[in-house]
Amino acid sequence: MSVEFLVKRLVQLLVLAFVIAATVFVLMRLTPGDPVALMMGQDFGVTQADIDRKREALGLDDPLLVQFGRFMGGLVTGDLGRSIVSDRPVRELLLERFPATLELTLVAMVLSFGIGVPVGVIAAVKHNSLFDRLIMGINFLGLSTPSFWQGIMLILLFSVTLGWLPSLGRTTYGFVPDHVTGLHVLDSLITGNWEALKYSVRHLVLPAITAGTSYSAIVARVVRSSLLEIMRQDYIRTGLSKGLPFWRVVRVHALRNALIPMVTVAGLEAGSLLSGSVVLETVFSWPGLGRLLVDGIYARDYALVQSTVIALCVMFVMLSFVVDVIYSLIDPRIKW
Amino acid sequence: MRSRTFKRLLRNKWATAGLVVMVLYVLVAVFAPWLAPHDPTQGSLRARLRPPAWLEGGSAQNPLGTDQLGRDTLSQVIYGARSSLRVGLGVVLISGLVGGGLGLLAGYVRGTTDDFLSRLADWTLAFPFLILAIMLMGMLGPGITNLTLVLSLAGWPHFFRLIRGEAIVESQKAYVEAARAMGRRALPIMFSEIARNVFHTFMVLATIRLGIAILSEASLSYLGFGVPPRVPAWGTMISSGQHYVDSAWWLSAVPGAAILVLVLAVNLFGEGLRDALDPRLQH
Repeated sequence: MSVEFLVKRLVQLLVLAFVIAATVFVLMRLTPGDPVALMMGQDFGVTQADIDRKREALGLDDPLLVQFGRFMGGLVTGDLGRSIVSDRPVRELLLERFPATLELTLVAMVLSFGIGVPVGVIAAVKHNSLFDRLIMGINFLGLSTPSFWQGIMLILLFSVTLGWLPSLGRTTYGFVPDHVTGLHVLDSLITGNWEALKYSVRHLVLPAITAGTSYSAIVARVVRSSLLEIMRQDYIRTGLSKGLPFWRVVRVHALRNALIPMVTVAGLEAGSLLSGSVVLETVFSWPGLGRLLVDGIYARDYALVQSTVIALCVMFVMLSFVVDVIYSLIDPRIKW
Repeated sequence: MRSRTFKRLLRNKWATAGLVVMVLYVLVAVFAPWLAPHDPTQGSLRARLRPPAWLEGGSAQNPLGTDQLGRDTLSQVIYGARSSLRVGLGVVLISGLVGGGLGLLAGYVRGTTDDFLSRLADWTLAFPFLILAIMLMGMLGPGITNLTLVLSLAGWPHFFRLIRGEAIVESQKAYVEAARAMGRRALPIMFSEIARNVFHTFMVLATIRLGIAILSEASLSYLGFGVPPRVPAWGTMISSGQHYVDSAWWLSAVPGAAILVLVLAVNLFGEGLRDALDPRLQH
């Protein structure tokens, strides 16, 4: 991988981040309604003079370009303004919520690949068998299920009916591990807090399964179809006819070449897990960025909403950058 | 659609089943006022949280039970088909026409127009669309028109990319050259000759996007950013039903099943359509 490529992609990344921030800024200003009036409400003796004073204090009467400059300056220096509802710096809130989203996303990805890859491999190797058809059928069902509803049905089964697992939140009160990384499972392992570990894992199971299984369907599909394609290639036939064990050919020669489509899926998946976090975190009252965004919109907390959207979008864009870098690392044929 | 393709499609029993279910949903949506046993918005406080008819305490009056306000679940689900299909079909129509039209233009004309439109499509795709849609809907407020437009905004680049690629290939074929030699103008060549030849590919993508649009509508309505609260919609039903998941499971289970069956039918049909149009793709 050349330095030139890295620099070029990084510049693109910065430009894209700027465009995202600008778009969010414009969209927030274009929407109808005076944010301050909405924020302060009509009753409780709020007068127009109060609203005007607040507008001035927030700098909303300045020319748009001035506001935009201030907004971008804030983004660069990390000053994202104050959340009106919780009266805390937005940056603090974002940093506090980020580990929850990260933890759920990571576990869901591990789960989806842990299920999807073996299932896809077996389906491809046993092409057209009963197992293959069954898997493809379940897959199809998975792709057609609204994941938030799947989550609620899992709550219905495992929390309400069987009473095995908690349905809401990230921990049980009083069992929060000491803060090291912010990832509860990891933190409880590091600090050796086994009680907290138990509760953290139990809370993770349902949301992670909901997010993970809907993507394992996609992973299995991609692994299956790319393996089917690869297994028809000449070098596979050569490997088999010179007497290499079948599974060795699959593992060493076929799967390695299926890595590229798998990385693509992983990137796309992480991206949609980020988007999907908004819905899933609402289902499970998971205190992550998605939930923060939804609560911010309900409360008309503009400063919070725009920063959360920008944070999620920039993470999304950075993911595609990482995927591009990984491509060039695993496939020497790809050059830019 | 050519009759040969259609015959091939009908021979695929899964695709046919998908088509039949889709038609049924459309009929249910169109004839909702005649099919629904009750007014979906009118509750009766005496009949609150009634279980489905086959359970203890259920009544034949409300075959699928009632919600916390005593509204009939079956009637709400029937009317909910209207919201889902209206938004789903609207999104596919708008994003398909805009994306497809611009794709034909970019693929045939090329040059600066193509560069500009392709860049625009790439920028749009760089956004995590659900988050953008949630922000826009949160700011604009719930509404079927708003929702359709916002989801179309996110959907057009998919059509654009596909049709642009197809149009580039088609433009090089002999029939386009012949049309040009005969003095046909660019617009008729694009929107009649080429459009006719990429229509099949377009339909396959349109089916796939229909399933996605229906799921997106449900997600946004679930969050309260989609269809307005007073209009019956499956996502909204699931959201309010979730509060009663420990006592009245049918409130969230039934509308979700309605979504699942519809999207499954759309996907089965789409898959069948793809195979019928291009049997080589079949594994």
